[in-house]
Amino acid sequence: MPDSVRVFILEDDVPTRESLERRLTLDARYAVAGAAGTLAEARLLLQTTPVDVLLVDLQLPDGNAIGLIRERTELAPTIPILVISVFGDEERVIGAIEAGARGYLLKDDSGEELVDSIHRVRNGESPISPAIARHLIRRFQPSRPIEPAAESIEHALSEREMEVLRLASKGLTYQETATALGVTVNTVGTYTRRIYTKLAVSSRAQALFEARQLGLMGGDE
Amino acid sequence: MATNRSDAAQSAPRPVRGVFRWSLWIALYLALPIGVLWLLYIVDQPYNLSESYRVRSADWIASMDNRPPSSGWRALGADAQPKRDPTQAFTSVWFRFTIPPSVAKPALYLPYPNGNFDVWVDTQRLLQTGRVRKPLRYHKAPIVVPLDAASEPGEQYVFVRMTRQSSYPLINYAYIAPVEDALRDADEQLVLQRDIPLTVLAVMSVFGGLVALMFFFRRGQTAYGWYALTTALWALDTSHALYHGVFFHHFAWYSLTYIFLMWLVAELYFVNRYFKIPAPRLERAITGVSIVACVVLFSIALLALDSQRFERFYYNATVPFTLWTTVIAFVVSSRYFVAVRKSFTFDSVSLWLASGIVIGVGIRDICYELGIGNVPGSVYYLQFVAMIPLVLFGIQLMRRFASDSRNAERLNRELKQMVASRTADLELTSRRLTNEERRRVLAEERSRLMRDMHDGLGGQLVHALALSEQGKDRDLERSLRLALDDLRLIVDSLTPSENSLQDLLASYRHRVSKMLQRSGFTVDWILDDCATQIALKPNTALSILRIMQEAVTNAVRHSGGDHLVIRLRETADRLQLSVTDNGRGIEPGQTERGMRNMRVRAEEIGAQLTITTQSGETSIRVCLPLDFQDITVV
Repeated sequence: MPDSVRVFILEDDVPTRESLERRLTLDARYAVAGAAGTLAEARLLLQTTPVDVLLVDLQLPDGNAIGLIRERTELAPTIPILVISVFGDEERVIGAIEAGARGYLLKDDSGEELVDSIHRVRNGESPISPAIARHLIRRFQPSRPIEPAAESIEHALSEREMEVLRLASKGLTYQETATALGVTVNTVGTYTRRIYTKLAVSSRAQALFEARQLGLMGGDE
Repeated sequence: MATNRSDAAQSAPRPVRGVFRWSLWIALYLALPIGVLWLLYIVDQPYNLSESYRVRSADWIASMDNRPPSSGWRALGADAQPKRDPTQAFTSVWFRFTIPPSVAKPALYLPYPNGNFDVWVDTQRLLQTGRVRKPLRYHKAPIVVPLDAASEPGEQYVFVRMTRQSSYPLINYAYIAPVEDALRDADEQLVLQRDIPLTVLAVMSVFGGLVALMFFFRRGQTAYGWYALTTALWALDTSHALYHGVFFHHFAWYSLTYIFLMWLVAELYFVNRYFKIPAPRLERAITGVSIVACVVLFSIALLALDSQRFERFYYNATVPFTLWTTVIAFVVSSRYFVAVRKSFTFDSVSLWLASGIVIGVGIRDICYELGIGNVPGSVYYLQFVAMIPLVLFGIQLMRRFASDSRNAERLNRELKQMVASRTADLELTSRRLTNEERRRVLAEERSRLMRDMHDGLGGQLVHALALSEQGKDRDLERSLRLALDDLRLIVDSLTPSENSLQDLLASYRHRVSKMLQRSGFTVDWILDDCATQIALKPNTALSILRIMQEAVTNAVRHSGGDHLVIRLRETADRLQLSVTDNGRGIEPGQTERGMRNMRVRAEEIGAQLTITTQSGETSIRVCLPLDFQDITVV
């Protein structure tokens, strides 16, 4: 089916995986391109399977999926990756977003919500929960001493983006945020997308900076 | 036992050694005063001047004339000496010395001028000290009068008028010597008559001042005060050797000497107490006699301002007074000896030896005063030598003050250390208590969570299990979703960062918004800014969230409305949460379980639950009194 969105699922819990598959196949617009239960399996399948969206559980029997997310982002940055998470797992979700994931969905989301999430991500919107918004606010606070000054300005959030985070942290929906800011829902989605990108870029810059620091230290010895 | 036996074994040769040692010390005790006297005698040498210059013969005449009489002279001899004129307030005598022609540049030299003098050569007055009619201004420094008028050849006389108030005028020592020799000798005399008293004065002032300062810091130590007073009196008395007629009648100065009787008595007390050799009966006897003597002598001296009567009294009293002083001095010295035998230390030995010196010098002074033997020297030494024990006393007092201060400092330091260690202990205890408290709170929280999970989640899951056995899949799903929802609230309430109401509500709002939207509900969130900043304890927060969730769920399921108003505000000391729908109202008996749950939860946290219902508006209101117990640190 060339018109349907090809979704690849990486989830080790078989009932959850099957439930996701079932929910997706119920919608004609989506097709399950493949499913895997381990990182190795997923890497193997992804080499040959063309996909449009990746759903990734973070904790897998053979390790953490962050590495895979990073690889896929490098390889195919246009293919969005969504993290399959449970509530109260925001720290890990943030880690995944830093690695390149564009959003998350909850395991107990209904089929409707699931499809909605994928749809939004493909449209360039990213979901954002209050807990994640709070994390991001802290992350982008201007007073981060270790960050290199030039890069911190480059990756700093705009006033608008910060405002979106603040409203999201209070639990406002996209619609409510859009109303509050006097913009369309799509614009809010774009803001969040940009915030996530900046987070990923800034975390890469941070990693680079730290690596450089390590390199310098190595050079001294 | 063993030590006793060895003591006994050693005690045999001890008396011999002891006697030997004590003889040595007693010899030293006797030798020291002699040595001191000898030293003073060397210093006190007015006879450096050749004795050939001494005036050996003179003519004299008792006369009140203001000029040298021209006739009536008689040679001075053993049976022809001036007498005091009892009808006059003072006695005036003219002397006439021949100026030997062999002396070049002659000068009249009087080393001990103890009266007022008027010196003439021919008809020319060369010197006058004090006024004749008020002969009280003693000229204590040696007098040197250059006899320039005697440069003419031939026999020349120098006329010297001497006036004395209390005694007969007699010039014991007079020299007619070359002016340089006379001046040199006069300089030496000045050391004895002026410099030594000045030194005594200075030493007394320094010691007295220092001890007075010590007394200022330690008022409780009266010894310091007495010492300062004593030295002040002593210094005052010594100043009398330098200046006469200062402040008051000079007899009163002499009378001060009686006061020093008490100083000696005080010394007795000092010895007995300082060396812990009590002798109360001795003290009482000596003190009694001395006080009586002192009071009688001093008051008579002060009352008898009439010079003649005073003089008579003073001279008559001198001998018994001096004898009594000597007795006390011996007693004090013997007490020092007892002290030395008791504890052979620097304190006791030095004071004992000093007392020996004072007694020796005192005996010499008595002999000098009474003319017993041919005692060499020119002045009373006692007032200088008695300074030695006083200075030793002062040193002891200063040492005591220093050691007291050191002790005080040490005690202070120890106290500080003690306080520090006690503070540390207290801190430790307090930390332990805090930890204890934290542990208790944690345990409480844990048990609450367990109970909660058991009652809520556990019940829900058991219910779900039963449903799954019955194959009621739809009910099962609903039950599991309820369980999940509750678990979410528990997780929210426990997440450490989410302690303000705002954060707690945000998660719930985010979740419930989608559901409400799907159910066709619109919501107005009216959140008071102040109220959202309040931070609640996890269990209180959880209860509030549960009540809210229950109210919202009920409204969505049963109200039949399509609009919700969720309002949170803070009034005075209360937190108010209300969920209002626009549905048909609660019918009796409907959703009773849900209501009961809400009530129980409200009661648990001490909040009030009010439900007002009617068609078109149902409101569920929780009112939580804001007690600091419920609020954690924001």
